[in-house]
Amino acid sequence: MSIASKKTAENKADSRERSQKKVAATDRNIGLSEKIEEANLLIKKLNNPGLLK
Amino acid sequence: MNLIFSFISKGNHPYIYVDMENHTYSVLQIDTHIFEFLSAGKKPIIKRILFTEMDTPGFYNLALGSIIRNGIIDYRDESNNGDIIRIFSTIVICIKIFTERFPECIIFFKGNTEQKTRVYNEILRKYYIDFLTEFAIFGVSITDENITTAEEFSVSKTYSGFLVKRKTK
Repeated sequence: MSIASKKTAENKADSRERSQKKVAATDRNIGLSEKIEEANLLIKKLNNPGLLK
Repeated sequence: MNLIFSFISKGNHPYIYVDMENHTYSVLQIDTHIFEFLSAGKKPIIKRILFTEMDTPGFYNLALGSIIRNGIIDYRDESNNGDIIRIFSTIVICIKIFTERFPECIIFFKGNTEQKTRVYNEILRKYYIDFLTEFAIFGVSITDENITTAEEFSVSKTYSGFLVKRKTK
């Protein structure tokens, strides 16, 4: 493999890795924020959190 | 077949759990907080398990969603794919992997419907003894006065949600 084609392959791999990292950030999560909000409310209202320590 | 292939070949992931005895689905860890697996029930559905840090420090919410299109995950999904026990066992595997990394965290989960929460109650009643070797399980109830209370899991009760914590060694 020539140096140029090796460089191209490396660049492609870098680009693939970058795009994979972006996946989670760009995902569209339907219904997730409502779920987390509900869970946050429940946990904040927990009257005996000491039990879990 | 294509679906299975694309699922397996998504890239370089730090953790792949393969269950050789088929009690759970094989799990792909996308990053520390995200896991995916293929639910092979009535139809193939890629499922995502997401752990999200909550407002209360040390607490994480566990959410189960279905990837309906590339990059779109539906956490309201009621797929009723006929494999709830195997999915639940897979969730347990993900909790194990996640809490190996974050042993102090407390994980909260509940079903996204009353029916699913009821099923989680039934499964936990059946299998909680196995779970207890590694985890402390608490049932979460909401009183008539809208107060949330947690207690050690009891088979005789039905809970609105669950809290799980890895036992210290």
